[in-house]
Amino acid sequence: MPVNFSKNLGLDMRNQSSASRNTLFEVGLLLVICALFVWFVILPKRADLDQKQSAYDAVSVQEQGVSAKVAGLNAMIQKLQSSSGQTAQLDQALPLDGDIIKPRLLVQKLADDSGVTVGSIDVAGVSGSVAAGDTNLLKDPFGQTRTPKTLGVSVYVLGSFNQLMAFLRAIEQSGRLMNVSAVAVAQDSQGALNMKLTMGMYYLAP
Amino acid sequence: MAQINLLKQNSSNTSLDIGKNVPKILVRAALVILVALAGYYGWLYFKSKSIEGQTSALKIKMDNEVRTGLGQADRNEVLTRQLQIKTLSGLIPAHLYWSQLFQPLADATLKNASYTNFETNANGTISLDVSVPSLEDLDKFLQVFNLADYNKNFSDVMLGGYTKADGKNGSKSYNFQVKLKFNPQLIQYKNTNSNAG
Repeated sequence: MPVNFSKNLGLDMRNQSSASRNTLFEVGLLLVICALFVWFVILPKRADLDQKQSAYDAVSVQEQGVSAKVAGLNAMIQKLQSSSGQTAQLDQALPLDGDIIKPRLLVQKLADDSGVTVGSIDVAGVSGSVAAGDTNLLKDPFGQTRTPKTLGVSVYVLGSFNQLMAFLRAIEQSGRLMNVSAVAVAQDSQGALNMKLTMGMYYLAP
Repeated sequence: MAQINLLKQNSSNTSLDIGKNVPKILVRAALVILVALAGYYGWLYFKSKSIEGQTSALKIKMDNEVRTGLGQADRNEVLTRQLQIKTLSGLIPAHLYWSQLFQPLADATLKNASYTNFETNANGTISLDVSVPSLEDLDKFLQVFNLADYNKNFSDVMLGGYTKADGKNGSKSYNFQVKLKFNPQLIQYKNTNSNAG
């Protein structure tokens, strides 16, 4: 009995072709899903990650800076604690208070050392400033914001030319910074010399 | 009896199998890609969480360091000392040495002349009351400032009116006032401690 295989085979081919089309459709669909997944999920997440990485890098740099500053501060504190002599010199050059008595005593001492006779020493401080017992300052001596201020000092001395020059040099080279702004030297009718110095003494005060 | 060509049929089935498998392979490949993408997303997710955690920990560490630094007992003193040094660094270069002015002025002064009054200020001018025995000396006194060696230090000499006065022993003198400018470098710091040669 003859069997028509070719007919059966033809039916299989149609089924197979249909299955192939379905499979190709699945492939296409999967690729579309992949593309959409990449576009809407992966790429935004990647951008988010990059942004977070940048933020981390920035914070890391900032932290390194802070860490270095804290280390520097600690080193400075240690150096400060072991430099009491230099700190005293610093306080002499630029005191942290507007005391008007110490400048007067200093000028008097320099005049005595130079051999001149002191006619007058006038020290003008900032009016209304607290001379002693400042509660806020005593509570936290270094916690106040300080600005440079100047005491106006006027000195009148008498002596020989060499004595006057010695006094002027002592003023110029004093550990307390005194900036002379005007010098006047005059001779009286007896031939004696007198000198008037106008100068400023600096200090840092709140 | 009909003959069946089984061999031909088998051969045809093999080519059909390959054609049937290609789409399956493609599906599997697409699935692998999808799974790989999902894995990559998972890695991104965990990496993102990890960086978030690291950033947060770093911020906490930094805050602690800042708090530690600000809480240092001697920090304010360090800042005050720094301000002292900074202020002095600005003041010291502007410090003036007036005593350095007198020797150059003495060098430029005629031997017969004497000063009875000397005034100067930071504007760079000197006011002098001078006494000389004669008008010739007054002229010589002024001519000195035309010489280059002295003019570099003292210049623009302005003469006020002069008066003739009688001295105690019968001698005469001419008194006058001059104003002149001086070289500001004369009163600036000079390092005298440097060893020449």
